[in-house]
This record gives sequence, structure tokens and C-alpha cells, in this order.
Amino acid sequence: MQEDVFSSYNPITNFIFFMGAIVMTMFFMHPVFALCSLVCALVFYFTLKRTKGFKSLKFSIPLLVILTVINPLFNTQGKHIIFKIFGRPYTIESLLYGLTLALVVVAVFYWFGCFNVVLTSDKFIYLFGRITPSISLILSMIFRLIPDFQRKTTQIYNARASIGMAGDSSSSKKEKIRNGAVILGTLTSWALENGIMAADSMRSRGYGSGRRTSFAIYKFDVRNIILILAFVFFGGLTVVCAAMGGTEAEFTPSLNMAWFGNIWTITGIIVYAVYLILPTLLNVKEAITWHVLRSRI
Amino acid sequence: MNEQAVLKQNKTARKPSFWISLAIIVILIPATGVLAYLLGDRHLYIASVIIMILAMIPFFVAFEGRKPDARFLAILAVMTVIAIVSRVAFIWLPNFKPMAGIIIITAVAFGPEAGFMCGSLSMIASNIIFGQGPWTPWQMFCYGMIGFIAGFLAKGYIISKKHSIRSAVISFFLVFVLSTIVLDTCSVFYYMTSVQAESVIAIYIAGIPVNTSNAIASALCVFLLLKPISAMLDRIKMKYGVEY
Repeated sequence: MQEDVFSSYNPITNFIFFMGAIVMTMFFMHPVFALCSLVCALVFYFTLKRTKGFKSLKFSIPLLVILTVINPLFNTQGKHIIFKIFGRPYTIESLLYGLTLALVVVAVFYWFGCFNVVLTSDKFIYLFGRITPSISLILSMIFRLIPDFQRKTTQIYNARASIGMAGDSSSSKKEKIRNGAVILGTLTSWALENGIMAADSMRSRGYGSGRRTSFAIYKFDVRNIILILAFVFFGGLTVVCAAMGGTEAEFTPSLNMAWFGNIWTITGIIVYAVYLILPTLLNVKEAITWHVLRSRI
Repeated sequence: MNEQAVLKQNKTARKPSFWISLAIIVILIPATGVLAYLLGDRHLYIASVIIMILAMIPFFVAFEGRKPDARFLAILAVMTVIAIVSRVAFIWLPNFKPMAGIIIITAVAFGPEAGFMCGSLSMIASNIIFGQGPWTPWQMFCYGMIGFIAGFLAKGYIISKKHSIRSAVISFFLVFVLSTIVLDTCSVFYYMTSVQAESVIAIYIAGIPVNTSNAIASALCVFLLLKPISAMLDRIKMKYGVEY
């Protein structure tokens, strides 16, 4: 199966899109905008994760329900009272506010879910490498060391197990913690020496003797510029619509929100949806091209 | 000799970072606060994230400005990885993360700034692996602050390798208080439609079990490992002249 097309763009393009999507999702506390963002996030998330994405529903649906139900318990403002609980009113307005917030929260979770798939650690380092050379160097050292550590931990654990010191399922919590601490100690003494060796090796190869350069395989070509311009265009239009009051929504004390009669709301929803669905559209376009090309053979 | 002179110059020449910090503290943070006030209740979350990030910038700028040498970078990377691995090593005990303990040990050995770097880097790096979320800036700030404060406490010999029990108790309170203040406040801003005394108290109470167990994990980590790991770090410092 083909990979995600959006992931093949420059990390800067990816980062701009996700920051725009996440910040706008958080800013627009309007039920329709929130729902729109959640739907787009779900669509993109499932194109990225396929069937593996279903696992997340076990976590996100309860969160959605709990946040919706819990918020009116604390926010008691609103005119239409459904019932009273602990002597406090439970209102429709507050329930709707809770639902909108829950939609926003879950949508942001899904956007971050996509972010984590698209922006892998090497892209992350590429993004911040130029602004913060020392920190990105440490980060790349860290990512190199983690698999190393896991391997070493298994080695230490196996070595201890072979002399009967690793504990088993019958050992108490205290023993388990003590065993973990011993492994951590052994690991540390090995890692520190190893780190010094790595540092000396870096030094003898000229680390710090000049400006640090970084290698990256990401190109910034025309298609990236076009996509960023599209993001700026649709995102900018959405912000304009929001500034004109298209995303205005007041829940408490009484409901008062821009609805579909408002020209700015309709335009806002459309451009917002286009912005958010663009990465998925790239995949759709790729799939169509692929099928057309294949059918020509 | 010449090299040492250059190093010394680098350490004293902190002007750009100083001006950036000053600009952030005097202009940008209050401006963000005013903006949040003008925008209303729900934008507290966004404003607070911006403030978190702004508050971390001076630390990072100062770190870059010092041009730390390769050995220190390597040791800091190792300590950060140990903190991350400690999060993985105890995965079978939910909410038992001794990460903060390792960060405190690093802060004791290398001082407040190194503690901050270790804390915030271990959070961002482990989130790159386990998944970023809206809580990343808060976690970075919270754990960075734990390291920073621990570094100062160590300077005043309040936390020291000679007093395991006292250090462990102080670490417990340090982790517990900062997790509650920073991480649970993040939850209030993020999950609640309105910030009221009731919702704040409810979230703080809901956070007590998690924070307590994490703080116990960190305190145990400090109690068991402060002495041995400090000994290893002191040996490395003495043998190879690693300093920050």
C-alpha cells in the first residue's frame, strides 16, 4: 500500500499545518467548528493508521462522554434547568458548552495523534536543529541511546536472571523495585563511561571547532511552497471569518451563537474544512492518479 | 591555556540571553496575560501555553549561549536517557514514574540549569517517543522546574547525598507540589469550561493519587540512587573534568 503523501512533504510544511490546525481547533469554541475539526482529524487519523486506529476509540469515546457530563456539574450557569443535583442546577446551556469543549479536546487529541505519526523524531530534529544546535545534538544523542539502553537493560536483566537474581512473578513489590534500582545503577555506570568515550571521539573528530552543519534529506521544493500558500490562504480566510464574528458562540448565561444564517459562519466552516482536509485530499489525489496509471497499463 | 581562556569568556559573555530573558519577563509574559484577559475564560489554556513556552526560552538561550562542551553534552544526554528509561522500566507499575528522581540527582550533581535542561529534555524526548500532546509544554516546564529548584536546594545543602532520607522527603514534596501546581492546573484550563474554585479543587483532588504515587516513586529513587549515582557522577567529574 502507498504511504501517506503528506508525510513526504518537508517537515516545515507539516509543522505549519499541524500548528494551524491545533491552534484554530482550540480557539474556535463553536459546536459546528469543533465537530468539523473532529471529523477532519478522524478522517486523517484513520487514513494514517488504518484499522489500528480503532484502538483509540476505546479511549476517546468515554472521554467525550465524561467531559460532556461532568462540566455542567461545575458550571451551573444557564436558563434551562434539566434537573437539580446536590442542590445545584444542571442546565442545557452548560451541557452544550461541555459537549463543545469535549469535541475540541478530542479533536486536539486526534490532531496530536496525526502529528505523532507524521513528524517522526528525525523530522523533529530537522525542524529545531538550526535554531538550537546544542539541544538538537543532545536530542539526537538521546534517540540514539534509547535503543542502546533497551538492549543493555535486557542484557543486564538476563545476566541477573541466569544467576537467579532477577526475581520472578512471585517476588514482592519491594523486591521488584529493588531489582529495578540495581539494574538502573548498573546501566548508569556503563552509560556514563560510554558517553565520555563518545564525547572524546566527537572531540577528536573536530566537534566544536567550527560552525555545526546538519545533514537533512528534506528538500524544500515548489510543491511545498504551493501547499504552504494553500494553508496560508485557507487558514487566513478562516481567521478573517472568525474575526468578523463567524465563530462567535456564547453558552452561558444564555445561548447566543453565530449560526448558519450568518454569512461569515458558512464561509468560515467551508474554508476551515478545506484547510483541515487538505492532507487527506493529497492522499485521495495520489490514490486516483495511481489507479488511472495502473488502468492504462 | 588559550582554550581555557575561550571557555571562560564564553561563560561570562551572557549578554544576549540576559536581554532576551529581560524582554520576555518584562514585556511578553504580561502582554500574553493581558491578551488572555481580553479574550476571556476559555483562552486561558492557549495563553498559559504561550507563557510556559516563553518562560522556557531564557533557559534554552542561556544553554546555547554557553556552548557546552561535548563531554558535558554526552553526560547530560545519558542522564536524560536514564530518566526516560526509568519511565519505561517501571511500566508494569502504573503511575510509578521515578523520572523526577533522576532529574533531581542530575541537578544535585550539575546545578540548577543542568537540572532544568535534564527535566525539560527528558519530557520532550519521551513525548516524541510516546506521543506529543497538549500537555507537552506543561510537562516540560514542570519537570524542568523540579530540576531547577532541586539544583538550588542542593546548592544550599538542603538536598545532599549525605542525607538520603531528608533528600527523599524533600524530593517527595517537591514533585508532589509542582505536579499539582503545574500539571493539574493544565488539566483545569484544558478540561473545564469555566475556572471556578469547585472545578479547581475537584481536579486537584482527582490528581492526588497519581501525584502521590509519582512523588513516592521519585522519593524512593532519590533515597536508593542518590548516593550511588552521585558517586558515579563525582568520579566522572573528577576523572574527566566534566563541568557545567
